Amino acid sequence: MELKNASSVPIDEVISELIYGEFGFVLLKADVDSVFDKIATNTTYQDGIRVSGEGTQVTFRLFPINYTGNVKNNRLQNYASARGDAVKNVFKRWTEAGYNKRNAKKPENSDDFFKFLEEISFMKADYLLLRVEGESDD
Amino acid sequence: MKNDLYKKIIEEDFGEKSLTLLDFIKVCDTLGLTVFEHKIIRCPVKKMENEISNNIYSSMSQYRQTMPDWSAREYDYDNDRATAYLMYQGIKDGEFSIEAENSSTYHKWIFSVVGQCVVVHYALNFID
Repeated sequence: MELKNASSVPIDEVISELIYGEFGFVLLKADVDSVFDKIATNTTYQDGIRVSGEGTQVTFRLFPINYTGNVKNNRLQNYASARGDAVKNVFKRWTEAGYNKRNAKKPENSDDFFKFLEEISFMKADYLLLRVEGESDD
Repeated sequence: MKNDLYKKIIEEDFGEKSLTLLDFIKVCDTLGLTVFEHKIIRCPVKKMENEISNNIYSSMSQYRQTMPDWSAREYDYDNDRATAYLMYQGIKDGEFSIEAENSSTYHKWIFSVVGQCVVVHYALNFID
């Protein structure tokens, strides 16, 4: 899957994917200075960030998973724990969507989940935007 | 990283003219800059925590809708209405602040154009 650049993706597209997408998350590549770089330097991945579009609003968490190394280093973020937590959350969404046919208890025990991560280019992304459940009010 | 295109547009379109928030909004919207707001609401009641939130808006014109209409403008108290937009020196450099207050609230916004976005630090204080 081709990932979009953080600096050029339209915010309304991000909102739409977070609200209506099957898994409620978006993966992006970091490039030149984008709004997501600013968020990553001012917040941690545990913080909720509210994004407003035309008549819609959704809250998400921003995980700087930084696989290309383009995310600027800052004191607030621990990339290793961000990645670990991101994988757990993606695994939860994937399981809830009914793809965990063999009922793997952990992400590391599932080859199917690993294939899914490859399909969505997880290991080529720098940012995971994960919708916070129950916070959209479109 | 500052936005070079922002400076170029300001220089070409406005020259030495002083700029208002409306001019700033126009330039930012032309460049398609996203707005990231770090907001703090200082609670007037003791022992209660301040409320902090982080918000994204797709454009400055959308962000302007969250600000009181009378902010960044002169006020005609005789006729009880906001009038002309005020000018701010720092807009040319992409960094400026706006302060506004009424009988119950004091607001401060610090705007910075950084890369492809506008970062806004906004504080809302309630006056006892």
